[in-house]
Amino acid sequence: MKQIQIIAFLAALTMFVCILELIRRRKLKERFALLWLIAAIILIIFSLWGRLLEILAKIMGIYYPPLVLIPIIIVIAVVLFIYFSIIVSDQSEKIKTLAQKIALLEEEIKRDKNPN
Amino acid sequence: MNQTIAQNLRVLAIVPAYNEEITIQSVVQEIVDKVPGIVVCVVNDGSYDNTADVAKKSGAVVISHPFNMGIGAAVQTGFIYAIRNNFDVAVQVDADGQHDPSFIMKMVSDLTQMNADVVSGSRFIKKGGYKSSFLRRIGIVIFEIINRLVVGQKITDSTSGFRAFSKRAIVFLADKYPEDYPEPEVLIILKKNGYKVIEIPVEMRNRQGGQSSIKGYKSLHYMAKVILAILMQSVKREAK
Repeated sequence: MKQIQIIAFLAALTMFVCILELIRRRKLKERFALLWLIAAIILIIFSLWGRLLEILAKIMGIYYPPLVLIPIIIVIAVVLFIYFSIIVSDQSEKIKTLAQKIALLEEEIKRDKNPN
Repeated sequence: MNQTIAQNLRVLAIVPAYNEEITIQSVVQEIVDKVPGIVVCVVNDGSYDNTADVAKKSGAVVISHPFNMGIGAAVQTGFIYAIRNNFDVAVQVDADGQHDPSFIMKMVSDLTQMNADVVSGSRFIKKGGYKSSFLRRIGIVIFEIINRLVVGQKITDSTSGFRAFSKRAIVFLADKYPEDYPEPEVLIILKKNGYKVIEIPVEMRNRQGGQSSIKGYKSLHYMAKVILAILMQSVKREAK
């Protein structure tokens, strides 16, 4: 194994373990962690299987194999960001519904307390 | 022209308000004075001034959002209130005094007589009454063309916030109300779902207090965003 491979492997493994640990400590919910775990696994595969970069470089027509990582990383990042934007949109809708319910209930409670 | 509201028709005025303590009292009182039997519901959208207290003292039902959520959410809260309390018609009225409540009767009677789901008050059907700048008029014409294409009906004033809604429309909109630029979008989703939309001429006054949220270079930005919202709305899939 080349030196860089060892470093890359350790970095990716650390990421993987950190995510698992965050789940274990209940700081991260499983459904949000899944995508991060997949990202970590992809990075581990790349660090162990050095030839993979060369194969992909050939398929994609890239002369310098390490550059293959750039589009891969961009794709992973974009997918994650979109995924989280979807979650934020969903949650803001739910927060709105909750706030409206609270406002309506508050009005009803006040009306019950002092009916005119 | 019959201008009385059919008896036993329960009408709710929904007044979305965000920091409108200066005008809210006269708006509420004028609605109550001009439309006998109406219930005024002020949806206080997280104001940090005295809007809620002033509105309450003026005799309105006040529903206060715990934080500001925008006019779309405020009007929707009003619709949910209308359903929970069995109203037949809801009329949306601005809190800044731009809308003359004398038109409410006409809007409601047109709604029932023409069997419509929305009666939208338009500033632009008749000439006069509303002065606007050259740029603003260009914007209005562009909106008209887009609406023609998207809604498939001539809408002269798609950003009007002075509207009466039938019970059917209330039930539909309480469930899904567009958020960002609700006025033009509401017409599109209602038309798309087979509801009947009509416009009648109204005159609008200059605002008594506060300022338009849209002015200067912001108006171009606003237009671009509204057009995007309208176009997106027209291709959106039905929500489940």
